[in-house]
Amino acid sequence: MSYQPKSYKISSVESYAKDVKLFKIKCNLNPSPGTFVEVSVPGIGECPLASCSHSRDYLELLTKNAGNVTSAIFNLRKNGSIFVRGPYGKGFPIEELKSRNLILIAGGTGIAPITSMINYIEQNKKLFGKIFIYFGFRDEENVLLKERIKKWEEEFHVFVGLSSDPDSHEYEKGFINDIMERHKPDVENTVALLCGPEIMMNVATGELNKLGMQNENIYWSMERRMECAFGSCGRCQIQDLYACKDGPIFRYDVIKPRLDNENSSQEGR
Amino acid sequence: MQKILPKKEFPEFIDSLIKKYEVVAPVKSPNSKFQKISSFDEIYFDSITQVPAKIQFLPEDETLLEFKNKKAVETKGEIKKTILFGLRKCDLNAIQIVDKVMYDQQYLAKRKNTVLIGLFCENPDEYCFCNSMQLQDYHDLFFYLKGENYYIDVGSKIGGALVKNLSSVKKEIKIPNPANFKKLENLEIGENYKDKIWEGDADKCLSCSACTVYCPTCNCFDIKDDLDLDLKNGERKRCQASCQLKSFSRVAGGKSYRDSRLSRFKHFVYHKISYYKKIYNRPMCVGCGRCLRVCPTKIDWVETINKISKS
Amino acid sequence: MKEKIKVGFYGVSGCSGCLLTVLYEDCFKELVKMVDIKSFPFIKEDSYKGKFDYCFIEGTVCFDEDIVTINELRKRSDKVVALGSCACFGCVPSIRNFHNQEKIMSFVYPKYNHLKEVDPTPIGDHIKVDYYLPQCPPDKKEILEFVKCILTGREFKSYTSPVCFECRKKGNPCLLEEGKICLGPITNGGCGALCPSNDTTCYGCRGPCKDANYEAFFKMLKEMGHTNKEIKDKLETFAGLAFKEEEGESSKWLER
Repeated sequence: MSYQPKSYKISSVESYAKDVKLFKIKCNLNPSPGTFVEVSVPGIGECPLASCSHSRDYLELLTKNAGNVTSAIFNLRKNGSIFVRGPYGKGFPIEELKSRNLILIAGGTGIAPITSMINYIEQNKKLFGKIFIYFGFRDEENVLLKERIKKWEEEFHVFVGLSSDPDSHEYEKGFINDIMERHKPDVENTVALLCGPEIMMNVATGELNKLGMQNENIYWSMERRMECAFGSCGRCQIQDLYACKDGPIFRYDVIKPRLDNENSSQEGR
Repeated sequence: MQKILPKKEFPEFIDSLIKKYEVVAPVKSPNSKFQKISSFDEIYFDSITQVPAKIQFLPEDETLLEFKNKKAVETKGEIKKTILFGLRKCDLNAIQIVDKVMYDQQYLAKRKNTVLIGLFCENPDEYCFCNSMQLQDYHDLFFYLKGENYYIDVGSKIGGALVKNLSSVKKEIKIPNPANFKKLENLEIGENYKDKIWEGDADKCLSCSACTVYCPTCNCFDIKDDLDLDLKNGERKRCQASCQLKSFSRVAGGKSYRDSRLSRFKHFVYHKISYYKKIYNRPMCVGCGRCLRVCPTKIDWVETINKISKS
Repeated sequence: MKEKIKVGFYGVSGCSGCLLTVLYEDCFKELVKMVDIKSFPFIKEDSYKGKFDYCFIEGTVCFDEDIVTINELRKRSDKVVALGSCACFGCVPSIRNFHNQEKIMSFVYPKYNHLKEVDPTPIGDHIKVDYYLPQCPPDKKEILEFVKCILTGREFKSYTSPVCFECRKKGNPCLLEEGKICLGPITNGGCGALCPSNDTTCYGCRGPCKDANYEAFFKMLKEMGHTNKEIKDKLETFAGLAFKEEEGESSKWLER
């Protein structure tokens, strides 16, 4: 394993919300849906980012200006260079998903890995059953990848909810579970893929359980600080599992007891 | 295979190694640690070292990449053939355990060029519990003093080459386990994660990170960038980290996934006893007792586990 | 070429050690390459009256004039950096807060009672401070790191792990184990464990570590045989005010 990143050229930059940009990079890394790469700016640092598309020719990175490295990435411009190594991790279990209905749930920048999965589905439509997509954003200003969402609406069941924007004309109001309750997905022969803040995945999973889905058919994408990306540094450990090499996509019944354990000792002390 | 070396010829043997290789051995200075030596007399034999041997392979920080003229170049560095002498059985097993989780070139190159020479542990103290930790043989050579002779267990070809001029033992002897005063009675603590008993230990914890820094199997690290004063070139470094610090599990945006002292403390113990075992079928802890020895508030998690298994 | 950022160095009551650190060590040589130093006591006449991008202030506020000075500097500066433990926490001058003030004044200044003293306080108690670079005296490497950050637009992050982490990594023998009162476990590192590496206990000059476990730490010291007074004296030496504020529930430790 090596820490050697390669320099690539940024072929386009699109701005979304105030603090989110989409970088398109010409490269042949070809990450499978749900995996991630380590992106770096020399002298500033490295950070793990999920691939936001599925293509042999380019890589797309949806970056939120949240930390030191991401803000440095944020300031990069078209034709500038960016350092990338990867891809790393286990992505969505494509084999398990074949010939099933899929529910894709994401919030905020969590739509990145889900978008790469949607790309995959678009390229392999015959492999999958019905597709239900639920996206949650704070308000209209923060809706990411608007044009793509519009395009997906033509082919899939797409529902977008805004948690705190009562005035929106284009999107529904409500937290992710409200939207799901309003527009119930098929749950027979179905697998759900989730990515977003843990609290959001929690309520969405609760809703899926209510609809009768079992935890073994639900997958969570975990956010942790993957530094080395191959299971050495220990930064992304969730008990005995490493988000970087065992994940970041985990089957919910596998990850749940571990999260329960860790959360049980978070309060008070 | 076993070789034999009269005790009185031992210093001469070590000095002959020093002439040919870089020899690193326990030295008392002022904390005992592994250091490059230039003569047999510098070796400290009285106890296991306070500072573990891991710093040979995982120093406080280490350059991984250099940034020059907008290019990133991985550093290889000059690696000398090194003999690491005086490793006790716990030290050797700790190296074996870390070998399983380190995959990068920088680490592997150093390991490949290091010969591991063990030394029987004559003086375990009240903190040692290595016999509870399923230790294995993992050495190129292992020295055991019996009577007036050193019996040398040869564990590899590289080791064998170093002692090829010594005479072989006709009837091999069994090298015993070191004496232990302490015992860890239970390795199956997976079900006891939520036990209230851990709160007592966590309340005493200063989160000073001494246990992890001195643990021979704690390999966790950060990757950090440094910028030169010209603001253009720089380097990417691997720096020793500790799961006992809040910043360790922090992600962009500021959330720390193991924010409480209790969850950080348990992470250390459970990683050592339970998590690693689930993957590699042996505990990560080698029973060297360094974490207990260096803890300022004398937290004894081994006793805590023993208490759990009794109740 | 882009214009260099304008920087000023100033000091209020204190020993000027922080400014000397910037001057003496090769820090200054590097600094002048990177920034435009508009004002610096000892080496430059204070003739510049314009604005600063960054103003570094050392020293403790001890007299009413100090308040006037720092308020004026605040107005002229985009960002204010508290340089050294005095500016950050009050440091040694603030020990006066924990003793009988009148007694001290008449003892130290029997004749000069025209000085209008205020309680010795860090500059942050009087003006808004944007960044803190503690340590007595401050660390040259950290000052340069800070400047690198402001020049590259990176966020400057202060070190938040205890001194012990750095000290243990250096392989130093533990001074607590030798029975001494070392504030390593409750003090922010970043100094490279300078004092313990030279066989001197930590006095807490980089201020309280956010993650400190005071209860366990004090309990341990008492079990080692140290009296409340000994512990208090140690805590009050360099960052007493900050420790008092941080400790919360156990602040009874600092009451006399």
